[in-house]
Amino acid sequence: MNKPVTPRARKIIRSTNVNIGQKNKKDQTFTDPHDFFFEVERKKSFLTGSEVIREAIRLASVDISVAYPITPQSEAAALIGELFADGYLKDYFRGESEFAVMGQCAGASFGGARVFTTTAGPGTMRAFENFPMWAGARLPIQVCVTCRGINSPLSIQPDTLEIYFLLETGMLIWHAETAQDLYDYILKGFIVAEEPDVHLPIAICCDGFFVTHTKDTVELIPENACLPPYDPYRSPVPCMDMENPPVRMMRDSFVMKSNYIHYATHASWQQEIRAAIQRSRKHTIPMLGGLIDTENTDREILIVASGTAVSQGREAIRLLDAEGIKVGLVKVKTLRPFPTQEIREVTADAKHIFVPEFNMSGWLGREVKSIIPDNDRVILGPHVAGGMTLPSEVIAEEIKRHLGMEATVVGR
Amino acid sequence: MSKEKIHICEDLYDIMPPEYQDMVENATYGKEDRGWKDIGSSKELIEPHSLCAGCPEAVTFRYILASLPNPEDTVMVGSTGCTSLVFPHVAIQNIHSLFGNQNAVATGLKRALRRGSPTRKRMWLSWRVTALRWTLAWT
Repeated sequence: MNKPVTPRARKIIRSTNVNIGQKNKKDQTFTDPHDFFFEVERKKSFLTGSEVIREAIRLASVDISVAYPITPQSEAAALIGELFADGYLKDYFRGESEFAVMGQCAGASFGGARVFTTTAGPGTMRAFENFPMWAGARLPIQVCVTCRGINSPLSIQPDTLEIYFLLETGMLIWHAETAQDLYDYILKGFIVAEEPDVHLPIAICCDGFFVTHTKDTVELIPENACLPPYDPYRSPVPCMDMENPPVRMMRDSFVMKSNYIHYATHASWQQEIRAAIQRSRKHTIPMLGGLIDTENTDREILIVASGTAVSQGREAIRLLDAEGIKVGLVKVKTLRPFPTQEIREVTADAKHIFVPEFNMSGWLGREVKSIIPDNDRVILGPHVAGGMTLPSEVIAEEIKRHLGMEATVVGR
Repeated sequence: MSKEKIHICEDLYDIMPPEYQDMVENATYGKEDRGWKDIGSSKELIEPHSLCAGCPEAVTFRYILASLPNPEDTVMVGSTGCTSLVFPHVAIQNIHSLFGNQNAVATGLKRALRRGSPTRKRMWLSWRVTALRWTLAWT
């Protein structure tokens, strides 16, 4: 496991194609990422999650964004259109379908642009073939996934099942709990994903509606600062801008060849994508302050959660605390890379590990079960699906029931 | 891009593959009146490939590559199909992505490159294999 490093201890090499301190045409100053994230004085605002996406992109020096309507991300996509109208983005357009949108994002990224898009639920599924292609082509595109139930039956409500599908695409996957997380993860995600030894697409996931359509207090970086732009010449694969010689990239084609070289090339490339995800740890840890957050993990009972299930878990802990039941909390911030060592360490002494989730499958619970010893300590659930809320009382009752205590509704 | 970009470092010249040396010396990058008549008298931008013997796509490919007005400023965007076998054997930039998304990828690429250099003329060849349908676009 990587040693803990402070943001200052490992300075991320910034883009070299603009000078820090230089201004863009919107009079924003290109700011060193460390100053940008950790030094600049922030200002409190009261915004919806969708507005927070707009505010993050305003400062992100994004070149191109491609939009397509799918609730609950439509509002964010439209708000990014306003940024384009105001001159913050160089290009913005609507694709023909989610599949086309992600192809257009790929093309723009191949051309050396910093690319951002948003999608949700059915849109994610419709675009799906593109995500492993992005990873395989090493395109550091950012997609904000505002999770929504996957049809059918029809639902536009929040449900995190789509994250389960995304886990093995080769993308980096971070899961925001709050609007503040969403703001920070979007901006920090560009910096980590574009590192030459990572250079992978990144999905910044949040729970639709719960985060996108509710207002929250968010500390924003001032509008007169912005991230340094993406520098495609730091990419580990050539940028398709005709500035590189048109050499043949391969001596032999990869496809339709039943030979060892073909198999070995493909297998090693897939391993390399996974290795790049692991290499992102050393950039992510200083950026996010670790891949997990913990509260009182010396306790025998723990809740491990990601997204808004963390908030509900935290509330359940408060309810249980009033009854003298002490429970600790582990907030999982990144799903890829998965914080395997971190979770093993903080759960080492726990006797009961509960994993509440906003989906039917319980993917986070399965991930936790697969990496810790004595995994019968892991209790999958409670689960809600289809957009139901996950009341903190339900989590508290599940814990009490499991402990053999009377399952009364707590807090009434 | 200019033809100068594909010069080989003198110290490495003798260890480069002969077909690459031939490409640097005798390909028609930058030749204003390049066209199908160059076939036979110049180095083609396509190497021996693994399409089936007698496949008409191979002939089509040779004529198209010989006739591109500015191969040094062309990106070929293809989708999965038989000609995926050829993409690694051509001496112009190419992107292979997925089934049926070549026009979307070409759209994104075109808009990204226009962003960087709005006045430069470049060409995108978006190639759909099975229907033998392709699109040329200039900005």
